[in-house]
Amino acid sequence: MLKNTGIAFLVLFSSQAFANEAGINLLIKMNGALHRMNYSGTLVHIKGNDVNTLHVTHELKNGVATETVNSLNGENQSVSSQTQTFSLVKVRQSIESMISVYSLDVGMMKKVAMRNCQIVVARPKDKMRYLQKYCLDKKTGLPLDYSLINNNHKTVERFTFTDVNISEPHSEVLAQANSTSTSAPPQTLIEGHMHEIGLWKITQLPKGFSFGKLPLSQEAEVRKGADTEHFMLTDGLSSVSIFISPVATAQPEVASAINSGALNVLTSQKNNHRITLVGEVPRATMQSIFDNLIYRDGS
Amino acid sequence: MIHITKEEYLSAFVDGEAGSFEQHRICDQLRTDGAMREKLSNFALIGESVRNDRQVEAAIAGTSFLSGIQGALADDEPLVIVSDEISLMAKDAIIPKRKRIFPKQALGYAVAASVAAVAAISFQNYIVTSPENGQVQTASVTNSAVQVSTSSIFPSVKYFGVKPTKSNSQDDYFIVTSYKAPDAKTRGLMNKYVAHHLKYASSSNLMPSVRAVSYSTDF
Repeated sequence: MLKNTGIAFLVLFSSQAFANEAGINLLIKMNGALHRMNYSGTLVHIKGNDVNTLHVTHELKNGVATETVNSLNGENQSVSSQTQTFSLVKVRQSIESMISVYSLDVGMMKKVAMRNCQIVVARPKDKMRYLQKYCLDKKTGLPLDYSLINNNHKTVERFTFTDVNISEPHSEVLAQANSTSTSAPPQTLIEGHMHEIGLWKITQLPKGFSFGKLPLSQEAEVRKGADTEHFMLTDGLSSVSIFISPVATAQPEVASAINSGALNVLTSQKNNHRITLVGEVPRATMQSIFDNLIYRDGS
Repeated sequence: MIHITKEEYLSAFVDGEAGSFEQHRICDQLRTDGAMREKLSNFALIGESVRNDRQVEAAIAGTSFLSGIQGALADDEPLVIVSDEISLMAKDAIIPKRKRIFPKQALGYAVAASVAAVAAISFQNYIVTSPENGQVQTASVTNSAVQVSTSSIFPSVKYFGVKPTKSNSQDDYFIVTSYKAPDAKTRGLMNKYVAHHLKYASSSNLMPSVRAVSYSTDF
């Protein structure tokens, strides 16, 4: 009886470990596809009752990924961004770090935008983050469908392609991207970082969260003309930005918050500083970070 | 005379002995009568004190029981909260629009408030009668200077219960913050930070530009 129970536990443990490993590999493949593939298509973005249809183009050229997004909902909204490619070597480390707070499940095959895709679910082990569900293109790993689901099992945000063309860049372009990639990938953890940020200290981080690296270009931009500090916390899948800037004059101390799909923004004041948190995590998680942010008197 | 009758009805209401018609009537009165709401809270407090001494022990032993209540209330918190009427959140929570769910919710808050009050009173007694705990209290006052200023930044902070005197960590606090919709200046600042986050730190390996465009259509 005891032996059978032990075997059952072993099988369960092994299957979860296998699912985690398979999930990690798929998410690494997804990361690569998002940054190294050329793709364009129509994407539907659903936030609560709002539906936004967008045209997305992503192209890798001269070691730089250019992404252009146009809203098709009548408004002339468009964003174009360029990001330096990064080494994929550190992606595994970042993704593996999340296993302490998420369990990964690899689900069934599905069809999205007439392409076969594999369902991968990152299930949070607590209420401090959203459940993330992906459907990754079987051939390339590009996410064709992506949902964030809250603790009440409600989808707070969803992206889904209705049609998409995906192509692999020429080998020379990829080789160039690999040779020029210098920056850290998103969600890279800063190893051995203490819970201190300048004159501030976070007494207790939400479980699984650590300080993450920001691109060097960003540091320059944020600090340009303003003494705002920007720090990033990540659990390997979700991230929270902390912006801290001094306030010259005493202002009414009012906490404000806004929400857009999975994105929450919270701002308030503490010790004559404005603290603003932005992240794709539940508001309670951000409140917890804010509450645990303590000013360390420099004197 | 009328007041006494009210109290009797309220007592029956708290004890679950009021009929459905009376329940509705009391709910209607509670919506407008602050004194009656306070009375309800007192009755719940007395009831809890009499019924369950073990809750007092649990409150003395630690804040886990309070944390449980806090957690349960926090879990019910809606995710989307932005509205000009957001400062009325706490009031709305006490006076819901649907009358039929009122007794359960009102009692829930009343029980939470009363248990917290019992905890505070008991803990104060505990401190008074225990000299070594007096030291703990003094130490915590010294160490909690920052915590005091932390709480003071929220004029609209609602304490559902009493701020514990013994505090080893900020987890001991139960703070429910009601958020205001940002004014134009704050909104501008928030938008700027959102843009930075989406550009540089978003978890959206997944097409941060999509979120950026979508966000810009929101606000």
